Amino acid sequence: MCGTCGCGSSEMTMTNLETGRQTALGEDNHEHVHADGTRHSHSHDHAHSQDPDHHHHGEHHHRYEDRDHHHEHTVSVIDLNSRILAKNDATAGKNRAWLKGREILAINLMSAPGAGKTTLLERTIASLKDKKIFVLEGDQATDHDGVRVKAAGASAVQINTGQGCHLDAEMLARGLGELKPATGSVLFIENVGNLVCPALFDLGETRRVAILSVTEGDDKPLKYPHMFRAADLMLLNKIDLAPHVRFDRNRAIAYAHQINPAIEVLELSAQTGEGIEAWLDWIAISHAATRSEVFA
Amino acid sequence: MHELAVAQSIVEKVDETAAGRKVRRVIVEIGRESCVSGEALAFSFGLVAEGTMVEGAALDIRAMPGTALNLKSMEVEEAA
Repeated sequence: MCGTCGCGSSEMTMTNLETGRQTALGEDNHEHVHADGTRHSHSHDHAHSQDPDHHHHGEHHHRYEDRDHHHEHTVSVIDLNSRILAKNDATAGKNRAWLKGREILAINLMSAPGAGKTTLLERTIASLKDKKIFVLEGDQATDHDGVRVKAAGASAVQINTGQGCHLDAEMLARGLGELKPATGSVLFIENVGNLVCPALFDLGETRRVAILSVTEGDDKPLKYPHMFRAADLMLLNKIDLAPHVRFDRNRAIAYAHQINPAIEVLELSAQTGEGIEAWLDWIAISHAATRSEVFA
Repeated sequence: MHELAVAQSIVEKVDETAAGRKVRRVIVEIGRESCVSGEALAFSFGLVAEGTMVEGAALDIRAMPGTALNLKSMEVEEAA
């Protein structure tokens, strides 16, 4: 089953590129039920079901005889009334508090594969030489991106999600424990290249950035609205290629604002460095805000 | 693909709450703008439920406006 959901320990790994240490993820953060029933080794007291006043958490009072089949069973309705991703959201809340208390600006970079996340990181790390930059790299497989950002001068931990198509809050929590970003530093979280799934999972990051490269087409904000709705900033990347592709920047920006009126937009080329100053300013402003928000 | 992770979260919570009782039915609310596909979720739910108390349970997906992703309720069999 673990292999099915992509959280199998054999596939999901974390590599500390400073030390080379590799850790399997997924064993202790996901609870699985195995055929041997270890999970159910705690005794389950059936006696309490005979006590009409005793109910499991949120359990409904109405019980009914199941007349269709299984005459030996009655069926209880249990109200759950919770968010499906409640566990992820709770972990994200812990991450957010951890980061906030350390005045760390954590930027979640999300985009389709090949939009230029890693190139942008290399350029950004090189431009912020005076700052200590930490990077948590998420990819399904390989440590190629982690090695690239480490070569650019950042401290990096690579998380391989196996079949997982996004990072989740638990992976960030594990990554933070391994990477140990310094107080007052900037942490980039490079999410798995995917314009859909990462938008659904709150990590506890400080800012969310969606990168759209001009080669992908100007209608992406409409086609993948969740990503652009969830983002604080849309970065239009590869603007040096704009003359060669049919990309209408005004249309892309209008679509993004249609989906998310509050989204900020910056245009740059991570490859040539054009427009990078405005991006560095945005980081500096966000970083300053992180500090002033600590005791807010 | 993210439906697998969503299904995993549902099954974990339901299995834990069931505390060894067999689960008959799980009712969830999925917003039409939540970017979760009901079909993919139902498929993933069946896979992830295998080997748990949730195996064989029906998944009732109620379409909702907006981006809701809620676990409403579940039905379990009580021992007679």
